Amino acid sequence: MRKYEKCLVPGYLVLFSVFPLFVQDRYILHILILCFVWGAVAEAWNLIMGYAGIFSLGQIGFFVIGGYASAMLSKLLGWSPWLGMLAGGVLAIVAGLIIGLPCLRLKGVYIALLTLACVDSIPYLIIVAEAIGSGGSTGLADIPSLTLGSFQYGANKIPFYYTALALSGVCLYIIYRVIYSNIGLGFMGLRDSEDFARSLGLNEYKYKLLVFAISAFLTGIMGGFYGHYVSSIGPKLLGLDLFLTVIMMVEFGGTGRFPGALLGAFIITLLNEFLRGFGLYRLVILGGIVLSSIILMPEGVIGYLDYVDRIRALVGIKNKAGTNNVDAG
Amino acid sequence: MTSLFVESLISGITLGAVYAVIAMGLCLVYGVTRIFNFCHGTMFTLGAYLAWVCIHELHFSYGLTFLIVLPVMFVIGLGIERIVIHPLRWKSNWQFTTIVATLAVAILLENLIQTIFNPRTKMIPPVLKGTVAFHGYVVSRHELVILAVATLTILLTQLYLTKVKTGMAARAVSQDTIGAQIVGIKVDRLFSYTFGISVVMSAIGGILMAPKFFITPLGGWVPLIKGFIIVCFGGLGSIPGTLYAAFILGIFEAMVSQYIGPFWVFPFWTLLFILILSIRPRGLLGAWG
Repeated sequence: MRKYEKCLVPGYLVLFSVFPLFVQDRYILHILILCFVWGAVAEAWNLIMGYAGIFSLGQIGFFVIGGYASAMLSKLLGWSPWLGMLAGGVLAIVAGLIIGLPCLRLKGVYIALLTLACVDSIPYLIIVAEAIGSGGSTGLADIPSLTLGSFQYGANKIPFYYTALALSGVCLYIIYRVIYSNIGLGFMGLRDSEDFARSLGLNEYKYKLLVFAISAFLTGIMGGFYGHYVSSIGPKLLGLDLFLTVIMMVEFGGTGRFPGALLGAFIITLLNEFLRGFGLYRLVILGGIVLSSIILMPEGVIGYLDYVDRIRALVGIKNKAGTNNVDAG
Repeated sequence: MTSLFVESLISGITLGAVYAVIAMGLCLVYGVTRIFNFCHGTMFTLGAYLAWVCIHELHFSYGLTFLIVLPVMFVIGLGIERIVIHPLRWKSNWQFTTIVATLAVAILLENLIQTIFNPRTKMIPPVLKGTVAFHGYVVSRHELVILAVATLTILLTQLYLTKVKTGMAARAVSQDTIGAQIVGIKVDRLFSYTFGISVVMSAIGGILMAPKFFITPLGGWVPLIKGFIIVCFGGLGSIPGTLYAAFILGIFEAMVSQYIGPFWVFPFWTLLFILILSIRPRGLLGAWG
């Protein structure tokens, strides 16, 4: 574990909780809320892809399942949105286990294909589920906003901002704790040397299902929050746009490093907003930037921290904590 | 009833032939370079758009269109391999970075297509118009053309792999990359050629399918995923397996579309994929695990 990683989550929380004291612009707060949501989603993706080495491309599916579950429960059955979000997370776990079970016998790219095919058939499920109120291909609108006791989240962004920050902080903390727990060591061991890890008695199935469940749960909860925040959700979320944007966050930030995907999420979300002025060319430019970044720095932005270490080593400062160099496998 | 069955069988065989061409391209690239090419579907779309430009805007004949589009696609394939994939190969985590890189190429090209040609659907006329009646069964002439061109492509690829020197080298590399390097095969050059050929195969599929379905900028994703499913079903890297799988799944798709409804085609593909992977992950004739 590196020294800086310990104070990362608290630092992140402190930095962004004082931020609205200085800036109250609605647009900037909105973008930051999106950054928090995508940061948590990308980091959950990083957990399964970078740390566990499972090429799951199904994360957006869990996001949409969580969003739909929470939206439908609160809109149609009148559940509290918070309970709905939790139920969304639990449903995402169920979906994660359903996808995860056939993945247990598979390796590498087969998992990528299977999860991609599963995600691409979710829109059909949504259209079929129109009978029970999924809204069909147009999606659901007017999802109830969040409430806290008697307090109503209205047009004001500040309550949403802090809720998103708290949720993403909790998600990041859970991911951080998982990575440096025995579970994390278990699935990193399976990633780096599967046969050796299994010969030491690690239960492969248990760890793989566990990592599917954890990342699905966190993604599902963020999906639920997103639905309540933008108050509409539709199968359009499953389009390639979002899928590619989030996978780019993970790759751009750097896989298998703790704050990597979070960093990537902030950079890509901000870039995406800056490029809105370019209209149709936005995705072309974004694709170009990401492509060149992959070619020029395949380790991701976070890989530059290694250069810092190297320079420090050159200058003669010893990095005392930096022995456990978790690298992408 | 029986004529309906026979006609959907024929349409299934034509579909299977096109899928075979697309999936063989994927299979070839995976077999030789171990890369899963996520912009294969975009090449399908790009081929169809280039054909649209030639036929609809420049009023070329189909023969001339093939003569122009296929070499252009080959060069595009070479370029993508050189610029995007070559720098990433053998670096740490390259299997993942190449997937993301080809995805990025796909999104870039697709949006470029969308900005150049606008998102509205395009249509090109069939190669031969009209239908042929055969013992009371009606088949459109275009389906026969698809079948002929696809079969020709498959045969040519097979000839290339068994008789031409670079093709044989490609097979050698797919069996043992290091061994092939030791005996003096220029592996890098071979990777580029293979990639170019697979892009051409995808473009052939795109041009053949264009008159049957509309051309849209995002139309390449479904053939891509179907191609992947076929390659997995046939067994990664096995060309005979891919051919069997393509025809089985093509007929399966035509039957589902005829008797259950076109809406259910894709969910059934996914279901079948999950079943295949849970029962026999190696695929029909899988050489590699």
